[in-house]
Amino acid sequence: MRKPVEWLVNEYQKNLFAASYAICGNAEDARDAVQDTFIRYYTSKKEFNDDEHIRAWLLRVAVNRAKDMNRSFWRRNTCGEYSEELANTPVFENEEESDLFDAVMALPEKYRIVIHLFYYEDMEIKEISKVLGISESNVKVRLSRGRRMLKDRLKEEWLDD
Amino acid sequence: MTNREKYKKTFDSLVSSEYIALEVDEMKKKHENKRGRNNVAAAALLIAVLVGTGGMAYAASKYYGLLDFTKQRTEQIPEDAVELIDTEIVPEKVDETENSIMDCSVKEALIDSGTIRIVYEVSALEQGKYLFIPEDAVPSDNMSDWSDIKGVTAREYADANGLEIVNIGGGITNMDELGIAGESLIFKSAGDDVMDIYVKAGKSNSSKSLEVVCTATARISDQEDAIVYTDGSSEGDDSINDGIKDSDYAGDGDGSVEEGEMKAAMAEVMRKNITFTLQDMSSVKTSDYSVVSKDMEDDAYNIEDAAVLQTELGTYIDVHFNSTLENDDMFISFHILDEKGNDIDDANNICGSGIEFNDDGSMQERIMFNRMDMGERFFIEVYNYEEERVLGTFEMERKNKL
Repeated sequence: MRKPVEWLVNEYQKNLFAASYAICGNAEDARDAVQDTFIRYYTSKKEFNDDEHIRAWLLRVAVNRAKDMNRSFWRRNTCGEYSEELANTPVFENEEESDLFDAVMALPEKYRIVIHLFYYEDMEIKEISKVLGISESNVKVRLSRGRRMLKDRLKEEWLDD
Repeated sequence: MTNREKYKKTFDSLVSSEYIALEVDEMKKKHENKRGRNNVAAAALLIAVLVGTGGMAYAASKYYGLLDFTKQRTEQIPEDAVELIDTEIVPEKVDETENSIMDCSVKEALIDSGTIRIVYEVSALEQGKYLFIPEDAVPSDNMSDWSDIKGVTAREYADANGLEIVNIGGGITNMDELGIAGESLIFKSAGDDVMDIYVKAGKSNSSKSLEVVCTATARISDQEDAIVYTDGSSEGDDSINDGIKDSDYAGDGDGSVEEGEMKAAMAEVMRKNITFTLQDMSSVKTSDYSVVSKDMEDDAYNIEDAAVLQTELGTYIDVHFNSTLENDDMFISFHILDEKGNDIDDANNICGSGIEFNDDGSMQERIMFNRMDMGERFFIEVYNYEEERVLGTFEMERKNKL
């Protein structure tokens, strides 16, 4: 099955932006990653099993595109993995949200991606392993370590899962 | 508020403040007119689509990790042991035979005091040419024995896809250093020419830092192995047997085959050895158990005591005993029973180490389980597997608390 790209944009663009931002750390690259993802869908002839299949595919493409951007020559030579100067730090309603955002963005990229897919996209371990193309045990290890790092930084603000 | 709720709220705020909705018409126009920052990338993508070159292969790649393999068996990896899985193994030394067709990497490893588990992946250097099958498989075996492909043999699949069959094997090489008596291997195909292999072994070397040498082997096998029997009949492709009976193939060189002897024509074996170090990050708690009573038919065997070692991953029972019999006459194994005398071996038992002989004449055997609490008391049943009968039991009581 296929869905019109307009429908998918309306349904998933914010999710893809959030996932891409969690990787790139800045809005401009995240928007480019989202746009690239939908262009790829638009030009692809791939058939999908159901809506969940499309969602997982879109997330996977967006994640890969965002990771590619992080590894680009320009990014490697002008800034580190996440630069607050480049990011134009977003504005949050309260300090708790700001602290959580900073703690997440301070995680190594591979832990950050898993944390985001788990907590924001409500994905299960099995789904995350398929999106990222890694084993379920690897997902569990990254999730566990990411959680521990968040706990170390946020202390009581991050509950024990 | 839960962590999930906090996380979602934070990133919802981010999206609200930072995201500018994608205008679909504009996106399409940008792509079709080849304008904007992405026009080069978009054009390249379009070309890739039209000529069918790479870049659009987003089929989900399969990868079988340690937990995928253990799920298929009775093994249980407790949650707090999952964090001990090492997924960033760095090879310290690699050596291989010349002209090898394969690459190999160690993907995951998990060790504690008593066991070692490794997942390594063997892949073809030149893709699209080979069909990898397990080392003990033959082309007439079903693909479903090690892959998700059903209803076809390896030979049929290879012929249909123009692939050459290759037997893949290997395991841990430095078993003596690690105190490994035997290992089990499970194969799972992650692609036509990609094989994930799970190796599990009990070990007696409890060092916290272990050097491990893992070997992958590849053997091109494009025809059935030839098996020649004493009556001159054979299985497999008969053409391979031409000339064998008159050759020095047989043991005594006169062309005849020794009774019961089987041989196969085998191609050269390619090998790749990877050396790496694993750190045992597990913690061990030890409880000592002494004998409080016994019910044995005679004094041939006497259990002195037992030590129970518990890690995040497993429970290991070291049974120390002696015997009045000669070593060659000992055909015993130990079965663990719970405090009510019920057999717990079948539910959780991983494997036994076999009898180890100490310099002072005493002996010990290690029995391994998935992690479990042995409680204050348990029984050790002494079983003679040659005569297939129980010789008696020892009742054990904990001397100190965990």
